[in-house]
Amino acid sequence: MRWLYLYFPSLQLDQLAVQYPAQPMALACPKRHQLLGVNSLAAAAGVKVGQSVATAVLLCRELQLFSPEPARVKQLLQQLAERLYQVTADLALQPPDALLIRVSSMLKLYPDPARYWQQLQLQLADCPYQYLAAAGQTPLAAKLLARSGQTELYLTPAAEQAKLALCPLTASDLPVASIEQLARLGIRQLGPLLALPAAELARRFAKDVLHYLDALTGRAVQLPQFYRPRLQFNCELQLHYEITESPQLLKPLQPLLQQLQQFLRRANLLCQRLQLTLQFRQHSPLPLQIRARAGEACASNWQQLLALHLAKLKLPEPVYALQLAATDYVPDQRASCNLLAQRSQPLSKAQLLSVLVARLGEQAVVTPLLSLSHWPEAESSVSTVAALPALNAALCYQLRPILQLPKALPLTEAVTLLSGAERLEQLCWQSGTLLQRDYYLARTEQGQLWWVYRTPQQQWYLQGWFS
Amino acid sequence: MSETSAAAPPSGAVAYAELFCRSNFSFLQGASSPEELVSTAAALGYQALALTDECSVAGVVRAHRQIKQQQLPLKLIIGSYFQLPGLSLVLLCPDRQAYAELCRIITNARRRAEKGHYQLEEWDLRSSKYCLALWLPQGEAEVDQYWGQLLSRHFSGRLHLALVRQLRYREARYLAYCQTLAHDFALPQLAVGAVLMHQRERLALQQTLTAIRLKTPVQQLGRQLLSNAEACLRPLSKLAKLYPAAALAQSVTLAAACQFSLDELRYEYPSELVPPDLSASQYLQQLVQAGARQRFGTAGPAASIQALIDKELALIAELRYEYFFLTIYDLVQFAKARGILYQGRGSAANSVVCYCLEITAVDPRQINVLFERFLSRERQEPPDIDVDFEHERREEVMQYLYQKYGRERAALAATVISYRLKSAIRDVGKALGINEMQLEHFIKNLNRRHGVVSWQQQLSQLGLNTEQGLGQQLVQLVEQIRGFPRHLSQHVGGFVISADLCMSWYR
Amino acid sequence: MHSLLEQLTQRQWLWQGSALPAAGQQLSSGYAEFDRQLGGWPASGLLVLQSQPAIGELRLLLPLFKQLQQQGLLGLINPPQLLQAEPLAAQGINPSQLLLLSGVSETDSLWAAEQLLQSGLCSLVLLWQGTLARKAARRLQLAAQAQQALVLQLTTQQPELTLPLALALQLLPQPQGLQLKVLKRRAGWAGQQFYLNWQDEWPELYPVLSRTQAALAETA
Repeated sequence: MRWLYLYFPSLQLDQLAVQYPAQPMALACPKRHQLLGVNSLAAAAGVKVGQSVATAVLLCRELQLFSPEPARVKQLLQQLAERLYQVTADLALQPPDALLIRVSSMLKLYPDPARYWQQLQLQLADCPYQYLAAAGQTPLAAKLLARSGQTELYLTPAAEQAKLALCPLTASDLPVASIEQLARLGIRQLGPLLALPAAELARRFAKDVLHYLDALTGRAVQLPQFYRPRLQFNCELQLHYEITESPQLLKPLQPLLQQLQQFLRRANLLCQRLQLTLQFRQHSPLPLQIRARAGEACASNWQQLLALHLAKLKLPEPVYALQLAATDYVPDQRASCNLLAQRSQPLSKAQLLSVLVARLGEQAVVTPLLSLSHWPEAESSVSTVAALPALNAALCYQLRPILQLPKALPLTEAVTLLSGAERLEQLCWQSGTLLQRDYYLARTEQGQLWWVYRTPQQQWYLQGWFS
Repeated sequence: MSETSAAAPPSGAVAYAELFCRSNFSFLQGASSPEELVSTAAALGYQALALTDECSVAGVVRAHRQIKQQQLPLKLIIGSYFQLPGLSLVLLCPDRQAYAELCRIITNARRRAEKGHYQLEEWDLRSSKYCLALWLPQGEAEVDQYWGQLLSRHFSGRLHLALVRQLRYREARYLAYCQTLAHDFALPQLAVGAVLMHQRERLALQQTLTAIRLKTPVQQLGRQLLSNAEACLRPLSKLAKLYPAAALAQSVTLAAACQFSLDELRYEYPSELVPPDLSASQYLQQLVQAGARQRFGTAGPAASIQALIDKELALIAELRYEYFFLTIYDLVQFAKARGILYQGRGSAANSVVCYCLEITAVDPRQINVLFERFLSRERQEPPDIDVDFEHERREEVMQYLYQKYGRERAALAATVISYRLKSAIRDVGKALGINEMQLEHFIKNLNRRHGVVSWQQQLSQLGLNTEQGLGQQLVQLVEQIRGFPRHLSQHVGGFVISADLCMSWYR
Repeated sequence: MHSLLEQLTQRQWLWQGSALPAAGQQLSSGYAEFDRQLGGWPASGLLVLQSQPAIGELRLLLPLFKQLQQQGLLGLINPPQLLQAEPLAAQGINPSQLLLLSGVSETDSLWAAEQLLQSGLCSLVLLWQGTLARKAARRLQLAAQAQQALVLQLTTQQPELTLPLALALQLLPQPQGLQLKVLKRRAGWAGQQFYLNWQDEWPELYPVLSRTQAALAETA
């Protein structure tokens, strides 16, 4: 099977049956006073869909009438989808009363279709809803089969075609006008309709018919919008004892914040707003809004924010229960981005460095390191991943050459000295030798500014450029 | 009055006096002993050397003694160096009053802070009347303006601006700045060396001391170390090239104005020990006579003993050491009255006078006493009378002294704790970055008293390569640092009592 | 015709002599005279500085570095000697904002420059290179423009002025500071020259010789 269609014919009534068990019920259209749906108990009394309210009440005195609540039904369907999403993906809502599942992709996870169907059934068993399930090669085929009451799941394509051929057109999605038109031609089932040549269909009937048939047979592929779980973090907690001081609320909140953290991490999101509702016995519930502008997932950070809010809160009454809900999510982008940059930043620094190192080699890409020591050769470059110590500009020498030779070269041309000597002496602790150099600022005849030194042996060397 | 000890400089060479010099009594900063400093300064032909340890005059006695013993042609000037946030200042003593003032400043500064530290305050500077001051500017305009004004106000006529040339980073700019300051405050400029060692070869030790002080291995200290070895006593020819002639001449002028010598100091004893109508000598004689009758019987001592007594009293009177005996006599009487056990010991046992005063219990009739062992003209030292008091009750004795003479005039003598072999190896080793466990291993297995094998050889046997690298450095530095002062500690029982303001006297 | 002129002006292919570039598009050089003469540095594009080494070519750029480090990294490609962080840090430039690429071939350095620019993380790329081929120059200029960044080429040779340069300067040493000659300037005239006096910023490098100074210049 490739597509599974779950049809829930009486969601609202089934839900109501939980509240009012063993009660004949019917849904009545408030305007026309006609029945739109009946439950089994009412049906047993002879009540039927389409009857007038008056008739229905006469037939069944205990009949309870309810007006349809489409919003409620939608919510129920949503909840069903949420529930089934735990065991299957590729789920699409087909309001008002069905769910469509693309099974072919799920069979990669469930090698045995029977096992897969068993999982679904288990989930559905927990719900009070009646359902009809059918499988088909295309979504519309499955739908047609389900709505026709043909609830076979493991049909071969040929058998499926045979079954489809027998489906009444009234159960299909064809426009009513077209169905009537076809009925006048004597075509009431799918089979004969499919037998008609396409050109004829195109000429005689609305385009919709052809489109429908294409979709049904798989000639045109139409992917439904798959369900994405609605993100909601909402949990309640009954306190073991009543809390009178607001800071004490932090302790019971800790596990809830941990749950929030897990929830956000799994969904790779950050939450920007938390709502904490405090329940009192007499007083109306008190909602608190806590915002984290940049979005936050970490439980300890939320705790800090809550602590700040709760510190200044005076409770009118002892709290006996609380509710924590998260709203306003943003996706979690770990790479830091410069919000003020005028340029787009497709890469993070780490990514850029990886790219550079990949081509240029590890040695070529460095960040210079500050090591403040007297001896000029002591400074060294370091690779970019090392954490650099904090910068203190006041301790850095300004009058040092920006470019320094890796190894000092003997001086070959005459220079003019611009300063008095700066004597630097370095003790080599390993060898015990003392090196002495007298450093000078010098200008060459071409106007270049050099850092030179003289050894005790009166040898002159070039050490750096004041670029 | 000190003898003119300044020799004429070698012909052609410039005259100079080093007025800012720190010895190893500036703990863990100075890398040379006072003796080494004065010897080197004399050899270089300096006119004078001022020993200016940080908030201390601890080293001056040794320097003074070295000059005396070696008859060095060098004048010693006493002073001290102080630091406050934003201020570096040297105070020098031209005369006795300045010396007393300096000691007072040091005492106050030390009292204000915990042991090993000091806290100078503006009050100390404002109240100064006699000391001469050398100001070393920080190089920061605001701070220097503040201190310049303060110092000018309170040290007017006694203030100089000190110029230091040690061939450091951007020194020319600093010197030009100092010149401006000198001009602004109308101060004469004076050349100083800011000396921390007697010769450049001590640089390794000086940097090691810094490492010990900052508790970090030398290799990691970066710019916290001296950048060169210019902070040593430098030849006159070199100084002539570095400093303007006027600044060098100023150092000599100032040195000439300092005439105070330690020779001027004498013990001055509290006067209340002696009854008003008697002199100290007379009183002592009286006590000794009374004591003699007690000890030898009412008839008095035998003629030979009496002769000894007379000889002793005559010498004591000549050398004017009466008060030593009187003070101890007074203390011993107190102890006797309280029933505190005491015993005089050491060379004092050779003195019959001490026996008569009940300081010692050695009967001269039983043992041949030799007074010269105790006190003699040649020794030029005051008598060393050691008295042991019952340990549990020594506190009572000390309280008696404080009560009798007041805290202003009595003080505990301090002892300088210096580096011994094992502490030296430990501290120097850590400063060089040698593994601490290894160091402990060496220290534990070292036998100081081994007659045959030296400690250097022992270290070598224990696995340290003393021929090269850090091992060699360790050995050399330990040899140098042994005997160096580390910090002050309380002397076991020494007490100093004085006539007026107390001065700490270090042994 | 009127609309044609408008179009050309918009595309910066035509400027009016009296119109100066908008101040907001220039970066202050940190030197008053420079800003007065040229209005500062261009905010983006390709620049060339012709200069011998060790005459102050990098010291000229320090205030620019200090500004731009706040907007991104500073990429330095193939400096002729070892770059020292300390004098830069003393001027307020954080070494962690510097990215140093050295020992890189010419092709690789052009590639690297492009990578640095296209990442969007660099606000400035300084490239030491003798000559720049037309194609390479064009690519760098486009990348710089697209990312609102600056690319600076430091060379000892005479630059090719037909390249798409926002600014080309020649730097010459002076005992009191630096002499600058404009070789090319987008929306401006070439041939301009002026001096920067650095005796206050760098008194030791450009000394005002007086008697006292001369005396102190004596060596020990």
